[in-house]
Amino acid sequence: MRSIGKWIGTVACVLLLFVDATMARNFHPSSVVKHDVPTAAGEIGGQLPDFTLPDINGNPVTLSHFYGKGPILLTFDRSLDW
Amino acid sequence: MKNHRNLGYRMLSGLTVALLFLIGTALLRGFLVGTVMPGSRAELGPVQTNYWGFYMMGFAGAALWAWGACLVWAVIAPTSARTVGTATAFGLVVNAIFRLIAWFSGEYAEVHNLPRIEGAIMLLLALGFIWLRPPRITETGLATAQERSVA
Repeated sequence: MRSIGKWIGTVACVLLLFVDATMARNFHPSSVVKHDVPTAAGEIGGQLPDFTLPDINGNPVTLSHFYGKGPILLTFDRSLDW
Repeated sequence: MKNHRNLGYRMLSGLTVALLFLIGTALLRGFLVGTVMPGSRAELGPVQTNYWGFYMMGFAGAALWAWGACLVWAVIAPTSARTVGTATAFGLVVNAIFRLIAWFSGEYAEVHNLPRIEGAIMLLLALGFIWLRPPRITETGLATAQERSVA
């Protein structure tokens, strides 16, 4: 009876080792890597990846909507009410 | 005559103590370099964090030192300090789970499988602490002369 804790611990460790060993085969973490600025920004002279962000009124604005209508100036302000 | 009882448990505890003090020292050094000597942050290499991150590094380093200090007792008097090994096994399993979740999140993809490898090592160490743990004194009726002297 006293060794029940030992067996619970052992089973937990073995199960976790099994998960550890098999999770790489079944799942790749890069599929959930969030795109940060360096990976999303593209190169100088290249084309920006398309995106949709809310404007000052909260309406969604998509970059590709403005393609072919002339030059596009993108500005990002920290806040417009300061 | 030399006492070789619980030698595996003592060696495992000693190895873990060394690792805890080493990693704890590195974390405390990171806190000092990042906070007290901010001009030296380049020495920290890939660690990119702010003052709150350095604060947590210092906290974790101090906690690892405390953990290592407790585990020293398992090296000196393994039978008396068997519960320290149990607590260490529990801490290692929790740390392994946290690393598996960290790997799963994808946020640490730049270090590839390092969290998984660390987790596996911790689980193996935990198994060692579970199976090499000495029996209770009441189960054997024995204790080393050194343990009787410190009890």
